[in-house]
Amino acid sequence: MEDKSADKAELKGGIISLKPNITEILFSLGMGDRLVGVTTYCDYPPEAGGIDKVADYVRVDVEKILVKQPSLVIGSEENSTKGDVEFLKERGIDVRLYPFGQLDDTYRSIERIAFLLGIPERGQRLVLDIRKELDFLAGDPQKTVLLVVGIKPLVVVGGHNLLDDLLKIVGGKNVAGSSKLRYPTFGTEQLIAAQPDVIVDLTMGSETKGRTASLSWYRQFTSVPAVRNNRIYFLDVADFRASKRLIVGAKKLAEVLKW
Amino acid sequence: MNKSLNFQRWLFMNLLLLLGLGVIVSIFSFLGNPLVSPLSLFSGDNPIAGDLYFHARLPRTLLAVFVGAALSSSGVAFQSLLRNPLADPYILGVSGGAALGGVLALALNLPFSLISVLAFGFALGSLFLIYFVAKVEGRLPAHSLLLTGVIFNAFAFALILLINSLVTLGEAHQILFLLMGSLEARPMAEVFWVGLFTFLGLAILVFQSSRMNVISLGDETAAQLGVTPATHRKIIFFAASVMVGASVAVAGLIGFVGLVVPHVCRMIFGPDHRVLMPLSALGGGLFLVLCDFLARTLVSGAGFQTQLPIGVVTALIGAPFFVWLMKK
Amino acid sequence: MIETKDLTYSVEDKKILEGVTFRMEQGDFVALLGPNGSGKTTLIKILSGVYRDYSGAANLNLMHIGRMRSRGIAQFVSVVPQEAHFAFPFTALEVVLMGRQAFQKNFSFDSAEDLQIASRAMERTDCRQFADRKISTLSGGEKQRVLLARALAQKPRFLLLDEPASHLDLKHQGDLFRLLVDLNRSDGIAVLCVVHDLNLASLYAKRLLCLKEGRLVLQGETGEVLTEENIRKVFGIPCRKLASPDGHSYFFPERVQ
Repeated sequence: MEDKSADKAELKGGIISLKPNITEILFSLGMGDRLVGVTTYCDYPPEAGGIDKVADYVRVDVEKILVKQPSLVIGSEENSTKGDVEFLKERGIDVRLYPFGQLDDTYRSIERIAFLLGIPERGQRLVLDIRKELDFLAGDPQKTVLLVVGIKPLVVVGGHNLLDDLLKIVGGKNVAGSSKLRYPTFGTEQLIAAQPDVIVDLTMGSETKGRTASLSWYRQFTSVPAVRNNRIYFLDVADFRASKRLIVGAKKLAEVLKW
Repeated sequence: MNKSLNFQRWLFMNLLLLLGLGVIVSIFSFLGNPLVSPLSLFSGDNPIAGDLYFHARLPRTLLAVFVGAALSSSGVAFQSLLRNPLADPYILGVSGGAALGGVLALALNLPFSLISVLAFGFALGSLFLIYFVAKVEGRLPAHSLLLTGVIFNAFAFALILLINSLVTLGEAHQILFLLMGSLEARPMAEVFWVGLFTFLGLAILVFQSSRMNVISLGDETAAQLGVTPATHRKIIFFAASVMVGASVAVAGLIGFVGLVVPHVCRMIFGPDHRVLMPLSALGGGLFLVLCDFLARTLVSGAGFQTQLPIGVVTALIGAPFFVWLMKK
Repeated sequence: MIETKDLTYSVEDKKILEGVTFRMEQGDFVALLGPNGSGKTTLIKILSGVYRDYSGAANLNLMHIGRMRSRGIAQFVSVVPQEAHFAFPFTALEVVLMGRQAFQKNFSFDSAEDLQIASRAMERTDCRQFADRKISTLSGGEKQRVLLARALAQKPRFLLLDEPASHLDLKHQGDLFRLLVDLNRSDGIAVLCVVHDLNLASLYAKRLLCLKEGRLVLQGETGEVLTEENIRKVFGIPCRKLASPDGHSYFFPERVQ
């Protein structure tokens, strides 16, 4: 796996990206014009919206991909359907999957993608840029934070997670950070017992159909410091995509913790 | 031949088990990770304990009691209606209707609080639909009831999958969660409603329980013994289905409770429905409280900090237990 | 009194019973004979209020059976079915006590009187010794006696039996019919019993009804109706009648050539 993806790809045809963050990385590397297919969620940069959609978050339209005869398909290791990948590979299409689960993975994957495309120095530059920006944001972990990605059920950010890494950098302590699971299902009682200073809701109120409903749900738990001190914030999970954009998310997170 | 069942004995047995259930429920509502000390609730100097107890523990433990009771007693009812000890409360289609309503509410972006309302509405709608399809000359024969229920469930779940394939990933995740079943984080008002429907349904079923004995012998025999089966079958079907609908609407599909608990109760207390019905309800409540305790504590330690879906726990306990029963 | 007049019952255009007219008084002991599929079981189900969409008349004590409540019928008429399937492991006593349902309220427990009646019924049918055994563990004959006890627990005026002898050994067959005669004589219960054994009919029944293809082809006093000629007509086999010294008649089918 390691050595195979270290080869340089033949790039006569176009590239297909199966994840929004990969699309963003490719644009950052100056390869956006080579993209011939993206997902329905690829909305950044704006030019990505004009490229043909060949996948959504989980489903991949293998027929559309075959028709495009791309020389390279890039997906993430975390959520790609194995069957689709195997199918494409069997038909001679070069499919590469990279991990983006944590910050280190993301750095390494960016470099490997750049190397694959024959532009290793651009990859190193991008990683350096991200590192530098994050260094500016570094803070001391003082406040305890709960990062919520789903309310029903209450799914939160656990350990070994990109968001957990960013939180550490900007100076927050994830109350679910000791979990081996990347996204543990928290019980209401665990939320109360954890007593976080800050709650960051990344669902955008999408589940409760509005932030007001989410807020009123949190506000039942009056013993929680974040509730008492009115420190419940809503951030867009898209700002934390494993690309240059994670700087935007990290900045917002730092902002929230500064108060 | 000397141990006859009279009202005093019956009342005594029920009160004893009710008391036992009460004690166990109060104990298990304090147990968990973290422990809540009963003293800290009343001393007032520990707001965390009060928050934990009244917003998290108590509602879900009560919901476990009500849902467990509803599923077990409706299981007993359907088993006698279908004359089959292996019938499940979800078999007659109402559960499919409730699940469809809940999924539709999710897909239509209805607010949180309306999900269980729509689910219950759908449960009632499917109840009448199944009733009118299954009805043959004013009666509800076991075979047509079973057939209609199974077909309706299959249809409802096909529609659920259809909806599931059209919504976003986040919503699909929520649909999966709804189908898996959960007792977590329900507002007290919903817990109260489930409790009310369970109590009313159970009262009707207990009232019908001596007729249920005769009905379990078959419609013809029931008629020859002086019981008009058609009327009683309808009452039993409606009461049990409303209970199932309410419990699925709020807690999703929690398997095995309605199958295992009646089975065990029948082994211990015998098949007389007058005894079996109330005791299964109490036993079901007890079983689900214990399962829920496991679900919220088993992997809640620092290493995982997560909770298991309640349906996973009931299935992990129920399925091997059933195999053991069959091989015994 | 049970009486029918032009009783007809059809299932999807097929006439199961056609124009059946008979009367059964208190104190009667009637054997119901007929080949398989001649409508015997159907007649019992109509008289016990199971099938109600018949045409013609079927009356119990001058009331239309089809319009009576099951409860009302069951307080006068009880049935010993041919087969009984038990989905749940009831004990024999529990099964017999179900015979008291027609006298109990919707939700009620068995009174001391109910228990006494059930116990007495089980004594009479010789099954009290397995009162606490599960019905599923009983043999066919034992089960039959429990079902008869259940029918007796209904304190019937009319006892309808559908081939009660089929699972019984010779001793219990004899016991059963002696009990039926006793119930008939000393308790005044009218008995209508489906039998296949012509000798049982000849020995115990006062009157005979013969069904063939849904029609009542013969009825009358046992001695008058049961002739070699009639048996050949109804069952289609040649038969010999032998008179024994004790004054009874016995029937033997001839060897088929």
